[in-house]
Amino acid sequence: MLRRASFAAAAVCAVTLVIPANASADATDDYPIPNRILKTTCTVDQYMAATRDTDPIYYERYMIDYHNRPVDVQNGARDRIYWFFSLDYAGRRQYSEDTATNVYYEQMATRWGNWAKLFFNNKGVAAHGTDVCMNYPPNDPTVWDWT
Amino acid sequence: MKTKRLASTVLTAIALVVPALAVAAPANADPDTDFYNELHIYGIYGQKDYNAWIGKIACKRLWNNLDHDANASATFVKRQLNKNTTTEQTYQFLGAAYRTYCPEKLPILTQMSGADAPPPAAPAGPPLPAEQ
Repeated sequence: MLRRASFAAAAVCAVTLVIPANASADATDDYPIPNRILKTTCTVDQYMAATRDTDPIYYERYMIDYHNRPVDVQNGARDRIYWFFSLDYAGRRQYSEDTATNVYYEQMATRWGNWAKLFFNNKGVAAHGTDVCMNYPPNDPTVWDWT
Repeated sequence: MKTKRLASTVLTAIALVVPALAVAAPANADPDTDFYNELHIYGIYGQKDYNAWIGKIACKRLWNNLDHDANASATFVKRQLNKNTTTEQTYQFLGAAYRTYCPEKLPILTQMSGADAPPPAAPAGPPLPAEQ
């Protein structure tokens, strides 16, 4: 009886060993891209204008970095983030997965490692920004022109 | 012997303190330090670099025409400071920031304080007997 029970226990253990936990490189609903950014319905301009008010130093440092890049890199980063925001939740979640599992997936990052720092790298900033971004105009080119 | 040692300790202490007193007070070459020190007078603390950033960005928002007056500037500043910061402290911060980082903007603060008070509201209700 005891032996049978121990076989059963061993079998259970073996099964749990076979089913691995998610590899740590996989994306979650909050990593590497914060959940708020996956779900927000704000435009890029709205979100940036919001962070300019809510997290001005973080925004400032991103803009300094941005303006220190060659023009083609600036344009590339801008186009890329507009493209990302054009995706729906599922598309953004998939993109999050792709960047988490393949370091070469995002070509923009090879030109500028922190190209989306204002959007992807800080959950607090994303939360503050997405809390109020809907109160800003959807189109506001001045958000990129902050020098 | 003991008195002698005590005396020499005191002398050493004085010798160390006096130059420090002589060095203190003059304005620093670094405006951020002056700004930081001025904020302490108003009881505003926090990280030196953080406060300096906020002061500079407050100026930049005026230069970039994002904020158009001292009111908007104060709203911006207050949001970045500790929640317990009073309105008075907010304007003290603003004054110090303008003086340190954009002195040409100081007039917008004085304009504000010099503005005429709004006329008192018209009395409500029916006219008093004396007014009839």
